[in-house]
Amino acid sequence: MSRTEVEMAFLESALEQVLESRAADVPRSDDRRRNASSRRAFAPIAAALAVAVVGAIWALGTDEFPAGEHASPGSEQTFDPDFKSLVSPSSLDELRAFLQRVDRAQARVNLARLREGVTVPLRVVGEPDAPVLELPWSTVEREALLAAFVDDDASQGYVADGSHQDLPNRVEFALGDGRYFALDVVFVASSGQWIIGSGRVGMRFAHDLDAWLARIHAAAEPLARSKGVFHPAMLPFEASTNLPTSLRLHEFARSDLSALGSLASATRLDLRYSPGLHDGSVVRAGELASLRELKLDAHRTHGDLLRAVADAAPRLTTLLLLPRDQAYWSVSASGGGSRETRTEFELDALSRWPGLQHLATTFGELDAKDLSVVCGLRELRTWSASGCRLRDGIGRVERLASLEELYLQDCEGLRDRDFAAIAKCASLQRLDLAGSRNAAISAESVRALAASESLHRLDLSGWFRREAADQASAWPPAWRGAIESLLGSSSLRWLALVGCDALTLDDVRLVAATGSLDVVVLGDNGPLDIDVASSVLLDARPGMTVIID
Amino acid sequence: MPQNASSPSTVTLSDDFARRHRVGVFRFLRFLGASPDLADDLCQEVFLVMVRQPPEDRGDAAVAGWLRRTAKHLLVSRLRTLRRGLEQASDADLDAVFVRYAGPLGDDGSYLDALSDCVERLDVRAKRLLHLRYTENRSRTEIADRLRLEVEGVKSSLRRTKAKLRACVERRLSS
Repeated sequence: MSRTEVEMAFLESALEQVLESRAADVPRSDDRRRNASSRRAFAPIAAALAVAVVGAIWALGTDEFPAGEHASPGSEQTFDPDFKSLVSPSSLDELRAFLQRVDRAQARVNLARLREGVTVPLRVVGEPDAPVLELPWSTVEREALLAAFVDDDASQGYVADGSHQDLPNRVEFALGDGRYFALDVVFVASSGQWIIGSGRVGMRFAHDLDAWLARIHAAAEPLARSKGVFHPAMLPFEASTNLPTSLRLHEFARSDLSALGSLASATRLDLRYSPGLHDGSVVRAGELASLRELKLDAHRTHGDLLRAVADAAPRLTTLLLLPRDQAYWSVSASGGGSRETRTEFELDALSRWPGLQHLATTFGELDAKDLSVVCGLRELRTWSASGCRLRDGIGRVERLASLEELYLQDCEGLRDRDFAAIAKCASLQRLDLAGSRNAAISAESVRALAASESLHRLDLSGWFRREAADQASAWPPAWRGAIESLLGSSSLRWLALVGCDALTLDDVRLVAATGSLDVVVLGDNGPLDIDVASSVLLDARPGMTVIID
Repeated sequence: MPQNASSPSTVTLSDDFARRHRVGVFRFLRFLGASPDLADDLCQEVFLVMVRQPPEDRGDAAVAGWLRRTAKHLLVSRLRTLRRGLEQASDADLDAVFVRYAGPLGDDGSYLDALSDCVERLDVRAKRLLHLRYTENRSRTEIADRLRLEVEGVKSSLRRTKAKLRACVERRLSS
């Protein structure tokens, strides 16, 4: 390999770094703004989690407990480039005092002087009256390492995958009815002498406390005389050891199903990562009485499960059938969904939740029967059928008088007459049709939408493509007229035309000159010069926002 | 065997040492193909290895070289590979290119600054291309689909853009 090739490789690595920093500085698309906003909102929580775990060691590590969601120790929170916080405390008091003084997410602690002769208080979380035990640090450390190394990818104390963004914003610990408990797993990564990182391994559950304790006893014998987990004092979550109300049961196994019985107080559950729980036999009537929001894997959900959930969780107001790793209503195949494995949901159970307000039935095969059930949900405010094949169109969606947001991204099967029905949704404010254009849809569909008096946000990304439009005149006359009608709507404020590569400057001028848009989203518009297009829009409408996706 | 009284002492990890060398190790790992998270992890491991098997203290540049070799070893152990195209490069070439552009300790940021300026001067389409390739890690096929190009067109566009950037950076560094 030549020196020049090595230099080009260096250029590539530098490019990655430069572009990463730019991406972090300037989120460009609407969704990325939301992501950034979400990250910002989460930052204090993530920091608190990271802070919480430094110095904390958890004496648990058996394969009985399924691994939870994994948090990699992100560079911002676990690495101190300057090693400003490097200490070698000789006692736990000294360590605690140190941790109070510094940013604990950045702390580096040399354990060497602590290992001999120091004991650590051990107590049951959530049971302030339980006896406090003293466990030798060396024993504890061994157990902590077991806990830290549960992941195959972990090495030298690090858990390699996951992201802070995926962490739930709950760190409460709970001891249930004495048999079941949920607790937050934290680890201090240690390699003999050094704490080299820290993070939150995830939420773990156990249903057999005695078996769990037996393992602890065996590991810590003869000193672990009773039940318990421990964490050092002075951690932020000590003050709030309430029952958890929001849980993500990652990799929850069938053998742990009985633990669900202890979750009667949970209000939100995400079971998408729990394949063992996508079975109608796993939940029992009334078992999830407090549950308001449930996420299930769109590719595993079926009628039996929905009917069982309806029995178990009668007060549900939000049901999201989403592919894994999808955080937004508008989903896409690239985000984990698959059109090849669309699911026959059998949505008849939805009628058991007449108060359902938010529903996602993504990547499914929806027929007239399913749509009839959905369109009977009079309280429904948000519905995402993104990624679905609509065998019989969108049905009588106009019956959804409360519907405010409708997501039909990457849908198959929309027809002209569906748009007339959509336009009649009296409360509809947001409509996402990105990627759903097909040959059966004519300009009349867009003209029909112009009749909506409430619609203020419309995504037509991917609709106007070169192969579908007359290149010579950009939008063909019929479409142009329809778009003019739409833009003439006094309610429309936000329009996305990303990926419309037939868009010409004349079309942009039309958009600029017509209507009352506040925001236009462009990007991937083929030969159209985005800078010029932006200028045209901003010159015509100084108050407008142009987002380049 | 008699000890040589003038033999150098071994390096010890200190705040100051970590401050001087961490950025260089991190950047070298990124150069070799590590993701940011992995580079961060391996940085820690490099210092741990150093604590366990401290090298002789023959000056900052020599120690930085030792840290880079250790980093490469750890990365190869972990990934079993390097950035595409670097597998066949000699250690000497890797080190020479890195030191040339990032300085003896790897902490010289002038290359990144120059590159950032050069990227800024690219047209929108080229920036989009780079974004898809290096930020979103899209395949050439995906990029071709997004930008309505042929796959070969993506390949040649990337090659031209990188060549343009390289020339731009060289000009800026030399000036």
